[in-house]
Amino acid sequence: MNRTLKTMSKGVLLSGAIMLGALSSAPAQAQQVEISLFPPVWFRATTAPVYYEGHAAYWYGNRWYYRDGRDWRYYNDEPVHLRDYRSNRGHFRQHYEGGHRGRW
Amino acid sequence: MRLPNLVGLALMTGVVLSSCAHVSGSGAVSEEAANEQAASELREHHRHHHRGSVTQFIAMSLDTIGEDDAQRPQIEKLQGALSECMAPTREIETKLVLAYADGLAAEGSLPTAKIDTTIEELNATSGAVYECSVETLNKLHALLTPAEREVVADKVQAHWEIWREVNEDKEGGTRAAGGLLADLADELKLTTGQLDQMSAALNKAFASIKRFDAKQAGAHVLAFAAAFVFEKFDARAVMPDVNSRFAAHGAQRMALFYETVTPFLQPQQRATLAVLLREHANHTTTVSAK
Repeated sequence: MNRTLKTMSKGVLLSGAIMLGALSSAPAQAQQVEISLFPPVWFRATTAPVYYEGHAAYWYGNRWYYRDGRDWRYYNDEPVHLRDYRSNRGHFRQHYEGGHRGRW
Repeated sequence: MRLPNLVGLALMTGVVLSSCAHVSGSGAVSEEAANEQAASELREHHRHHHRGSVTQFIAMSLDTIGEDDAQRPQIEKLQGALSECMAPTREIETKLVLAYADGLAAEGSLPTAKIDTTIEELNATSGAVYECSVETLNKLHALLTPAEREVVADKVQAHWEIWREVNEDKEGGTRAAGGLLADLADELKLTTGQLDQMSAALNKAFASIKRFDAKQAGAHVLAFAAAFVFEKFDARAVMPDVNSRFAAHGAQRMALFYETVTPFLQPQQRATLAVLLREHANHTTTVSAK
């Protein structure tokens, strides 16, 4: 199942709002709060995506994110192709001051 | 609470939670460190390398466009052609950074007249970089798939956002982590007294320079990114105007920074900074034409 996150600023604001709510209700019982972050600009500028279903997907924060128009979405269930790619090939990143390229 | 403050708090919250989420295992910790290193290096790169505005960002975007092994040689050939278009500005930039390094090593004041002349030269030369790139950009567009074009457009905008973040005048004297002064403090082991003096001097120096209009300067970046994702594209239709030459602004800002902090450095710190700047001068970040 996919989940749509409207915009980066709204998504981050939502994250903050959830966190503020959790803090203000302390010492309430522990709640399960889902926090979602988008691949930030420095990450997208230095990391190679993997192409799948016509999208460029980035593995970030333990999820595969992809852009859909102006929105960002992520896969709740990791597609087999992307999981295999991650397992077998890793991720490609450019280091601009280190002068090297590498996988992580 | 004002909105910018809320955004800042939300961002900070996200960063903290993100950090917490990554400390569950040694592999995750190293990933976090690798992320921070990559971000830091990119900021450092965009502070010190000003070669051709949007063309530089496009060439950099091809470093990580993704892996299609069959296409890679063609992409690298086009990337090399873009690099060739930036060769004149790269040469001027090298001359500029070496002028700082030589001035620091000589233990006198920096050669400001020579630096200013070099920046003017960079400004004039950078205006020709995009014109030189037009044919290559059209070939690149024809070569890439729609998804790859979207990736280039996104990465170009990402590079612009980072560039703007580290080259905006308002951050002249900030000591915030990730800022140039904070990075310099780490590299040169600056004392608290030196930091105080430098921060005050930088705030004063940057307050008096001509304000940078990021919206106007970035208009060409956004125009290129918007046009590149369409099926039909002509690089000549999104030519930059004189206001889109932000390479010289970055160089000017860099010059002002080093000219301002240099009087507060000890001899050993000057020598260390000279070595670091020579390393910048020797950086090559794009592949050669094949």
